[in-house]
Amino acid sequence: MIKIDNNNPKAIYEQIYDEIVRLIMSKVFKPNDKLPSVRELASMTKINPNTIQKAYKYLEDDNYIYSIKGVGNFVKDAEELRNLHMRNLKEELYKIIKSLKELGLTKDELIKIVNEFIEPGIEGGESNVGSK
Amino acid sequence: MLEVSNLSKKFGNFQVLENININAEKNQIYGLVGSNGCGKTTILKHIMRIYKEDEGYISFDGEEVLEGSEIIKDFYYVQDILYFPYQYTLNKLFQYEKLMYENMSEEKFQYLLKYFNVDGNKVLNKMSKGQKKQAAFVLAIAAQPKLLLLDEIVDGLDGVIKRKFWDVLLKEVMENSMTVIISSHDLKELDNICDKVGIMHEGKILKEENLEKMKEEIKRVQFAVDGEFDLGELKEYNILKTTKIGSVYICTLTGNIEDLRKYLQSNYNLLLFDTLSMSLEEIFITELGGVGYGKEE
Repeated sequence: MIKIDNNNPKAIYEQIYDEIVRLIMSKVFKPNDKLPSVRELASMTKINPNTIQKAYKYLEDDNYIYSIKGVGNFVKDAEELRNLHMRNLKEELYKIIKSLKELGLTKDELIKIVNEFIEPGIEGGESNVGSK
Repeated sequence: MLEVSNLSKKFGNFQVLENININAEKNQIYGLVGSNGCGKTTILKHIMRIYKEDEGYISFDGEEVLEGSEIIKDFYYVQDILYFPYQYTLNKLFQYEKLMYENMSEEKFQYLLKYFNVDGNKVLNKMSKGQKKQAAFVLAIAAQPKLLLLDEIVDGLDGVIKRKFWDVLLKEVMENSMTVIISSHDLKELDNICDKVGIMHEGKILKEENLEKMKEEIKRVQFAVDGEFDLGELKEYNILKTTKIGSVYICTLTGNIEDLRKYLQSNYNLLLFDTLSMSLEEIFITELGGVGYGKEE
């Protein structure tokens, strides 16, 4: 369920964080579902429980999950999650655009790339970045 | 919390332990790793007061551990090479150890026998190495110690049993506020599961650190630049080791990776720059390489 890649330079707790977010976003964990307990996840992945705890703490800080003391961790409400995830993705997009600009891409070129992703093939055949 | 301070020991003229410091906390797993014959077992035997130190002291929860201390009754030590009393079965040994360990739990013992599928009526010395390890582990957990010392416990266990072993150990560490020290040369087994790691070599602890922090500090990058390049320029990034394959440099370093990337980017045409992760095993090899162990020349 949770994939840990030992060759990934990301810290283990970040990988767990990302995996849980992925599972929440793909609706494997639905709003108000109980997440696996720290121990279950620790034993399943053979990862130190304190590392898992850390990932859960960040998930809670970032509003993906909420915890009820003595009961467990739960996925937050759907609408809230959608907005949150949208905001996070926008931030990522902003970072990517910034790096592309640093590489010297102009506004028009950026827009062209975006258009090609949204409607592949419309811009004509010579530079189909990302499309088939 | 277990604290070993400035522990030193000589066997005859041979310095087996030199200035050993260990800080193992409650609810945590401490991994003691090291080259063969570096003194891991000797440290554990000092903690159990089987050996007496020349210098230094050991304390548990603030109380000094001396020969005959009451607190030792809350310690449980599973040795690497297991010897059991002649003709004893696990059931019989359990009855005997129940007299020694106040917290020995019948319920846990029965549960673990089933969980590991160990035959309580089989003569222990007729068991295989892996079965003996399981039997000893079942007793250790049933004893519910405050400090559990496991010497090479996963050595000789198959994959399925290893899984079960970690499952039980994690549960105990989390729920029963145990302190665990586990020694091993199988670094893949200990990777990501230990809170803290002590890396030993020739009687010394080279490094003691939270494992996650260790992994943040020591990183590996691979990069390639266009044209001539001299590694000497990168001194300030504290490069521990470099391998060059074709035009790709692979560096292990403790310096700031983001700064390194920016430096290369602004001075060269940077063709490739990847951050690679380090496993505990690779950190171990790097640390030991630093003191000249395992160098190929």
